[in-house]
Amino acid sequence: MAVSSTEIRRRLRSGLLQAAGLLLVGSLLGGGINAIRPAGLPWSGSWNPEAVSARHLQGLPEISLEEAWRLYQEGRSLFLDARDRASFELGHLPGALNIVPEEAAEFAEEIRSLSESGLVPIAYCDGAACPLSSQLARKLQAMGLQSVRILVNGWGRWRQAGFPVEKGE
Amino acid sequence: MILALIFRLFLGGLFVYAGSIKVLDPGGFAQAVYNYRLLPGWAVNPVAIILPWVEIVTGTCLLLGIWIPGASLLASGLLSLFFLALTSSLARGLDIACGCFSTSRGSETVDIFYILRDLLLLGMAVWVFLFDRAWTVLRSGRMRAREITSSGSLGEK
Repeated sequence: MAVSSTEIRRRLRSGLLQAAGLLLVGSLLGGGINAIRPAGLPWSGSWNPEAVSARHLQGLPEISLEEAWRLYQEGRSLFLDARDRASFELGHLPGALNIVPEEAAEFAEEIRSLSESGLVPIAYCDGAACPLSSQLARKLQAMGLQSVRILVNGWGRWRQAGFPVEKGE
Repeated sequence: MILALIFRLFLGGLFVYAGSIKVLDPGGFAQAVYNYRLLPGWAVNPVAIILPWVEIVTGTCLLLGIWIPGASLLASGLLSLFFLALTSSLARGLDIACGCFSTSRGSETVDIFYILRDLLLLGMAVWVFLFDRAWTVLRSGRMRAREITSSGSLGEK
């Protein structure tokens, strides 16, 4: 069973060469097939936070920080925090419900009746490129809740503006 | 020896499977790569274009017994990189999908299980590199063939 060290060295030497060859073959195959397939990706995609955020938002109504703040002061904001539980408990927007995208269905009815009573549902998460609030809004939209709006990078911008936040449950 | 063979075929099938799934949804896989926030923006798409095919090529070689030292070495290298990516995402507390055997963002979130699974596969790949005999058998077979031909030509003289 034991493999001699010279044998291992020999395998390493030819293995490294072969691995380089396989990498090359894989790259050529990947590049070649990507070039001819209809669903091919561009080699330089735009992955800066703004572009990613715009992709997430596609077709969803955005809300500005000023308008969200105004709605909050009027007592008409219904913040939906799409982040995980631990982040939510560390701090969230005032009165926010913690709903990760997977839980959208459980809260749909509650959100519907609250928005019928005049509250404006505003989904947010942390970071401009964070996909969670858009995922949540899309799920709620599919359940007929068209009025959900997105506060892009809500947590970050709300805090930066020095607006009040809540902690715990 | 038989263990090395089993590991080799298992890993080969797994790599071909994992690569094929990513090839089917390049956009989804690019998103999964981006979510790790490890690569600069310009590198995300090239990795998403190339990595699935490197996996398929590696897996095919393992399955067919071609260039086993290279294929098992490359598999070990890839699994080591995946280990680093998974560990760092867990350490940074990222709530992201693995993107290992699926490109969609289901409920699967990277946790310790993914890291253990990766280490197990890495162990298998290293085992194949060290103990798979097909390559040695093939090579010594070729050497024996050469000996036979050379002795044959000697005999003719």
